[in-house]
Amino acid sequence: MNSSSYSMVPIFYSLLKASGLTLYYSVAIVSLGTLMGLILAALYSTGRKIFKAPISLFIFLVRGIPMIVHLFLFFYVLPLFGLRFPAIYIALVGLSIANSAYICEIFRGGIESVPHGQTAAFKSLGMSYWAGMKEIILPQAMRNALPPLVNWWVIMVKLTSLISVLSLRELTYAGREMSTFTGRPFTVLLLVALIYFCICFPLSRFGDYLERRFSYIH
Amino acid sequence: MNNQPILQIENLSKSFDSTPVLKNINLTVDRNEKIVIIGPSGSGKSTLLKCINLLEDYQGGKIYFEGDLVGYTEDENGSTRKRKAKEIAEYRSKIGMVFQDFNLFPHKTVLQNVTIGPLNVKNKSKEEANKHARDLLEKVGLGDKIMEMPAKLSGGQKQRAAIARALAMEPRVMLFDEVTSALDPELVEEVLDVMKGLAEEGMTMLVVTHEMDFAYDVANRVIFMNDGRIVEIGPPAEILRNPKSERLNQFLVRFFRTKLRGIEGA
Repeated sequence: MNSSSYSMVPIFYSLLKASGLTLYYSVAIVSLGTLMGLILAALYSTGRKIFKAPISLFIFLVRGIPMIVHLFLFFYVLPLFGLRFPAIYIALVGLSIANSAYICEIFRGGIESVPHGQTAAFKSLGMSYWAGMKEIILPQAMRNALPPLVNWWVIMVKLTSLISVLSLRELTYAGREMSTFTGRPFTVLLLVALIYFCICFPLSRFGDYLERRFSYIH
Repeated sequence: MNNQPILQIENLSKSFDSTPVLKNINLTVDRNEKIVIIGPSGSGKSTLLKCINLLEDYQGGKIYFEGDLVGYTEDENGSTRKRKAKEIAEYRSKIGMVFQDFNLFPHKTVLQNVTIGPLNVKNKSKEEANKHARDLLEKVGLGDKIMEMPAKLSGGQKQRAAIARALAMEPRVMLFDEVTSALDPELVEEVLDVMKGLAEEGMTMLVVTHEMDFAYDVANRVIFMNDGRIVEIGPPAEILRNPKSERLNQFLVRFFRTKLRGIEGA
């Protein structure tokens, strides 16, 4: 096969270029999804029905639908209502929303694992719900939520591969393209795997660092 | 200062679901008064304190603080509505509370535990809050622990820090909810000493406890609660030495018998 005459360098270069988009989506979706999840969890924890009911419904819906179907829905259904957005935004918003539901659950678990006495203590000082949330509950909830949160962040990085179905040329898309094009799927996909690992590994290490930072028994 | 009672509780009743836990409680607390509440577990002592601090809702009755109805507002038809969160928080800032299991904020240093209320609620400057907190921690004997994390403290030290935290808000009334129950026996005294010091300074105190000596030495009045009701109320000598009701007699006999057995066993 003449394809075997391709050298490794341009393949690697092409994959690196595509991994830029993967990295961009990872950062954007991790930050947006985490922020949205945090807000949802804080609202849910007020215990008010007006927040609890729609958030529960949202989480049930998202959890019940595969993320890939979720993306397709955004991509094909929104235009039916005259809402047309470039695929690049659909992917960003779709994945962030879907992830926020899972992250909300992680934070909610973290918040609920903070002993009830902590709430009684900040309330008895006259602190408001939101002040207590910010100063007392969330820092402790964060610590409890960190291991599952970092775990989910790593999953999210890998889930960015889903946006390839919207023909966005991120790492997985480029990998498939290159393996067909060069006829060397093993080499190419090994490189793809290596690049994903190089993104995820520091993130895991960062998670370990955060866990140490947030531990308060010095 | 006027002679108006600091707290007036009228016909307070509360139930969890359909189980009544407080039945028609009436109590007037005067300024500088020290009231000790005793009674078997499940008698509603702690719930009463939590209702006073509005940490628990109640279904019936009224609580007045310095003459003002707190917790709920009443319109001309006599129907009541819960007050706004802000008003409730404002009221709570005047009532100090210390809990059985300390509830110190584990992610903050001892000093930060004490300053967070004044910084957050009273908008005090950091220097001012720190200075006041240092003085209070010095007073409760934790002058050398201000930079420690709560996990490094003993139970007695934690509880003294929690007292300092409540005092930092300069409360008019202090509520103590079985504050020595979670402590090793030899750590009880250091916490009681701090409380006695407070009592001597004239702090108005409501203390739920099983420490009968403390009740005897410090209380102006002792309340015996059973089954959600105030069964007896009076000066400590009267309540602890000459119980009128069979139930209180039974409680005291059992209580001292258990204590005696503990001493014999030791």
